[in-house]
Amino acid sequence: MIGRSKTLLLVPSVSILAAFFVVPLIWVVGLSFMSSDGTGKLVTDFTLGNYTRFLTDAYYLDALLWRTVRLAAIATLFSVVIGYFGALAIVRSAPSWQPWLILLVMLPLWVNLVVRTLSLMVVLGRTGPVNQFLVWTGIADRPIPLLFNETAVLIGMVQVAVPFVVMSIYGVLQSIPRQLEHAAMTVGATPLSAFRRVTLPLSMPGILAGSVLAFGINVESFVVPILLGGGRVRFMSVAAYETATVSNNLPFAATIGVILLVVTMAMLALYQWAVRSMTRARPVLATAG
Amino acid sequence: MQQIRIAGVSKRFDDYLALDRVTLDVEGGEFLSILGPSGCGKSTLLRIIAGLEMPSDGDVHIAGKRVTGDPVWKREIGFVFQNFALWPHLSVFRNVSMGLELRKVSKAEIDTRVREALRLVQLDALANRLPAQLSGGQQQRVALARAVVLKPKVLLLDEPLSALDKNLRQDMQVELKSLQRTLGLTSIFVTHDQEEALSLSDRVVVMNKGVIEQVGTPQEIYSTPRTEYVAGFVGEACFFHGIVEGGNVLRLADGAAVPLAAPAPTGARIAAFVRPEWIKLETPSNGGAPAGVFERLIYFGQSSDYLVRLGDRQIRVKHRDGDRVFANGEAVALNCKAWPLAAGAQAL
Repeated sequence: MIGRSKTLLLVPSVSILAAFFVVPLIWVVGLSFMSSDGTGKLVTDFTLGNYTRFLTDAYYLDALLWRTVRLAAIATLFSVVIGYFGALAIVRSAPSWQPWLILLVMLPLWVNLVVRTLSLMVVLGRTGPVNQFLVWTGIADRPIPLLFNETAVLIGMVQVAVPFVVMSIYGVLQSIPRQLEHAAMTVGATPLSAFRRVTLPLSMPGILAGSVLAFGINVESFVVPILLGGGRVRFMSVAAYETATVSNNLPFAATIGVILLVVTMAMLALYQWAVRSMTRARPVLATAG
Repeated sequence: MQQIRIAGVSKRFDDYLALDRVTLDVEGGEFLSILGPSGCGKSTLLRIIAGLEMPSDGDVHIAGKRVTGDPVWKREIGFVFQNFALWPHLSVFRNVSMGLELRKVSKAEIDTRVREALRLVQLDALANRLPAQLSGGQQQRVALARAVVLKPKVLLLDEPLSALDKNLRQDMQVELKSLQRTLGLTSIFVTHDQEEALSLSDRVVVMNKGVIEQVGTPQEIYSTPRTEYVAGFVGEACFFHGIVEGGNVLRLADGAAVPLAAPAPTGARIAAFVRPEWIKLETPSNGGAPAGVFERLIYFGQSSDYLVRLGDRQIRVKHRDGDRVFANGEAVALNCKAWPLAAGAQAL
């Protein structure tokens, strides 16, 4: 009885996911093996043409796929480092402060992404506060171009991902008793080496979760490359959107989507495997010596 | 030689005085317990010796060297935490070896010393386990091995046995004591359990509200305490208040007389106490001994206690073999010698 009622509870979420996620996904995968004629009409014959077109064209591979993955990975790296320091600062602050600091981290998520990115354009623009500051302090003798290039897109992606990284690392750091670091200090570890040997490895699950989240968000960036890249920094999701709406080639748009999905999943799997085997190998290696 | 000197150490947390000018010497090889209720400052004192807290005032010396300003990682101490504080991501071996790794000891020597320490606590077979795969008692032993493998100048133990259940705790007490003897380690053991303190220690320090109430051997602390607080904290005690007559009798307000086990100044208003096992129940006679009413017998298996009503309080009296049987509600007299406290003790 209990087993059946539990299954019953799953029905709404499973049916929602099936109807609006799994079925469209299958449809998109199917679509990617079709083609369209010059007028945009769907030709339902099976073809590998879309994949051959994508995988043999240096433009798609380098300027699109590789750039998307590369920028997403770099942004993830920055997000995780910045997010880790943020989470650590919150965990080490007075308990009465922590809810407010968390609120501060969450605050950007309440603001619409387009609005946030547009305001970032103001900040990074030729007459924006960043350039004014650089010129005023003499670091740069005239405003430097901070918009419509890869740097701008990177800054935008980091801005989007950091709150998620902070939250996932904060949760893990909070569960690590401070006493574990103190114990390391009683056997002669300086605070820095106590952190490196105890807190850092123990917070690995948070780093892992945070970076998976950040990479997943960044690799699918859409608003950020459009607005901050200004059409000059092409991204997979933007290309898929344009192919579907402007070129009216739905099957090729689906192909771009499927390739992004497969590459993302492969990279995340590889990353998880690398981190897991690295952390697991450590104690074994040391005891062998 | 004094291994640890604590000279006038105070610790203030905002406006709360956790330690008030505490002075204490610990001899080399001594096992010293600090006993007191929670919040008396005993753990703070231990953490100051370790360097995990800094004193607001006063000095700490370890092995003849002033270490007051030294951070914890520069003091050569071993510390055992109440919840063991083992590193969950490292094997038993690596938990014990970390201190040696940090000291850049050679791999071969690390291996020998860790194996030796683990053998000492009978865990050599479990070196590759993770802490989560061990029982509470085994985790406790890893924590001990981690502390002693560095051959510290002093071993500091912060209620290390309180997380264990009763039977295991008694076993660990025996093991801890024999380990300490074997290594000749100067040890400070913080506890709120008076039996633990009395059974393990060479000397016991009783603390209350940030000050030391009394320092002495377990026998001194138990049988000849100086204050009501110490007498009441280290064991069951029945207190009498009255005026000393003839130097060795305490006359109570209700007219009863209790003989004193030590002389006290005649005419002084003092308190005295008796332990349950110092009292013998008797049929009332005309001797003027405190009179009470026998309430009932509590049977524990190994021993039994009597409950006796004495005016408005209920006291415990240890049952002894050969005692005659009392009926519930029967009038009894308390035959005992009380130990004088406060004013009486100062006259000794």
